[in-house]
Amino acid sequence: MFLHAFKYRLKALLHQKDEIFWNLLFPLILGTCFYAAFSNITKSAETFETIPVAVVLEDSAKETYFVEMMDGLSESSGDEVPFFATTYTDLAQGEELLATEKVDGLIVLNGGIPSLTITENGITQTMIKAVLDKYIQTNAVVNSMIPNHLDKLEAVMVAVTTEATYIRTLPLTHGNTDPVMDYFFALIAMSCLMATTVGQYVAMHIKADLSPIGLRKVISPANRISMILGDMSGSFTLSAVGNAMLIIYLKYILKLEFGAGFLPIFLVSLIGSLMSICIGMMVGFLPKLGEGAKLGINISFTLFSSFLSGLMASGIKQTIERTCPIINRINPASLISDALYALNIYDTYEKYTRCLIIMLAMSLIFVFVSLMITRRETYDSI
Amino acid sequence: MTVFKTYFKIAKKHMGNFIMYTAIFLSITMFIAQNNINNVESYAGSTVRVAIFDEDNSDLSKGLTTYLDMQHELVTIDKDLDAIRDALYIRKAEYVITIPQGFETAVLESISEKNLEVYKLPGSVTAQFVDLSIDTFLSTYKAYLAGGFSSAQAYEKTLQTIEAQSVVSFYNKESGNTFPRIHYFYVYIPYALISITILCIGPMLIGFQRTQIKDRVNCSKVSSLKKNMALLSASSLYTLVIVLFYFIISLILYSSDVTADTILFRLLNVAVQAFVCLSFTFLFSLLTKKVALLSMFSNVFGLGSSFLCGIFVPREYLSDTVANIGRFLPAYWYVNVENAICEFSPKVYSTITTGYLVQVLYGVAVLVIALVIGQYQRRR
Repeated sequence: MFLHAFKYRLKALLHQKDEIFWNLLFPLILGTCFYAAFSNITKSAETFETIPVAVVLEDSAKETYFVEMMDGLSESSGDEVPFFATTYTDLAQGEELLATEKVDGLIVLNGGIPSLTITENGITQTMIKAVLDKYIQTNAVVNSMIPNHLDKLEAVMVAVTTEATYIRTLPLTHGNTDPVMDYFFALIAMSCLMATTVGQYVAMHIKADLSPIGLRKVISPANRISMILGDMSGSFTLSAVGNAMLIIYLKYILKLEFGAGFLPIFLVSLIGSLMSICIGMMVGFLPKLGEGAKLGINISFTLFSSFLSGLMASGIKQTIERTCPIINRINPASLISDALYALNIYDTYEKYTRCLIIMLAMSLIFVFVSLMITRRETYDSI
Repeated sequence: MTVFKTYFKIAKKHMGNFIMYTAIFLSITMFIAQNNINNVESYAGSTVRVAIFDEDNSDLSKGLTTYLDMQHELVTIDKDLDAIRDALYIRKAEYVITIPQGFETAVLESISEKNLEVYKLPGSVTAQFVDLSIDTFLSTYKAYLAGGFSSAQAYEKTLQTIEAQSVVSFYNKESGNTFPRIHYFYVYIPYALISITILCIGPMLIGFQRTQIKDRVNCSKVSSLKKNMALLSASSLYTLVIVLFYFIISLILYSSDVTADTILFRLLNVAVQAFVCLSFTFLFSLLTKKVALLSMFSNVFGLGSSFLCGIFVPREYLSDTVANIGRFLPAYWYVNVENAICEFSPKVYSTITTGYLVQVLYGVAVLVIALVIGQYQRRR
């Protein structure tokens, strides 16, 4: 009976061509929108790019050390981009460059002391200032040596001009630290949660008072549980195909770095879909509610759960983690996106496994509640 | 009139869904608006969030910590590697330093084995900035050491020296782009409007597409145009309720930001956008008879517009290509008007009127397409 139900559920779903088409296509369209919207965001907001500056020298003969420093910072070392792109100019043209936003800062040297003119206060401008501060401070160190410690001046000059590194950068993670990935994790979560509507129809197709198919099914002498399981498996298969397509599209066509291979990501989506079908089924079994109301509950639940996991604005999940972490432990979309995050960032599978176990446990609870609602249900004679 | 009345009879039955969707989208709008206000404040800063684990506890390590505290913002996080990864991923900390035991001795003796151990966001501007700060502090300190000062003296002189700073002035300083709080609420309204109109009005319109009801209406003397006009006016009334609801909520929540000259422009903008959403709902309800598919249309259209038109992602972060694609969506013009209202002056009048006009044209065009499809379907 299980195989029979499975086969016919799949056939029935495949006959609803428009639904299949949109179910498969919809996450891909959204994925493309996200990709388009975010392709620029981290790059423009966070990535270090060479800072264009204009320099006005009053007397270049006196300012050789400053020019040397600026030239040094304008050269690229190794694979790093240069710190500055320096344009030497006069005051009028420098101001013109600043006004037209061709440069981020205008440095004017007056009596060997640099001053900075900017149009807005941002991190780039603060960094230009930090370089100028360093120059002024180095000068101050050297000047303070001249009256009493002239003998040490050479050693000091060596100390300030020698490039020493005091920093050892440790590898942070093998994964992708771009927080924009949260949106894609939430998208996969929503794609899984869309299976709630399919789950609802599994329930409605087994109840005689909710659909003609249900009416036909309950008069057959077949075991109800194997019918439900067969129906569920059919819906699950279709949902799994949709998720696999989405993951392949995001990972291999849009080339997003998930920090993990296809299989562990796919496993999250499989368990996520299973949980979603169970949620939808439970809603479908709720008594005294019409089809529209149940659909409304499932759609709202999907949207709200995805919202809490960061689909519409990143940072929501982290805010919840700080204020009320229990929501993240039980919100289905957050569990899916947390599992994907754990795969991406951590070396261990502890959090990943924990999320999957919670999802499986929740699926079991939902199935149990569904069975409790429907068990021993008989229909009165009319 | 019969169609008009029937519409509201159906609406009464869908009241539960209407309340549920309105509550959910209102809370999403309010939550994101609030979240965005916080984000904007943190973007404005030009310091980096630095976490320091001092294992050396020496004068130098304490000095470095004090210095970084002056230059940046120190944050506290757990020392566990996974916690560090979490903190860096969500940018709670952007640079994490462990000062190893023996660091001071190593600097004094110029040994590089005990360097600062650092976790940072690779290639980021914040990483470059803190690298520079550390380098400034330590090279000044080492210069004083080379000058024959003791460690304590060198540290003291370093702190004195770093007080010498360059002079910064502003060229034609413009006031920063700070939007009133009410702006963040209004900028998110299109997402809520698209979703609520499609999810609440769509199913009712689909109800009228059902063969039995359609046949019953068609065999009456009411013309197709008259029926559609009745549906349109009933839906418009329904949409107006949603618009007014959002408007009143905004007046209550952001009363301090409400000014008489801008609020009516905002109301008109929302009303025009609601008309566009309604036209799309008409179109979608003719394209499908399944409510589940409507929710997909609403998601694609609502979320897609929000990400491409500068609602969920500020427009300055979108690439030019994406912003140009966004122009083809009505929400783009809504956001244009909303941004223009924020810098309200005679020179933005044209932006505002263009925005209204494009949205109205959009709405009319989609509505005409829907009516034509409706006529075609009737003939079939």
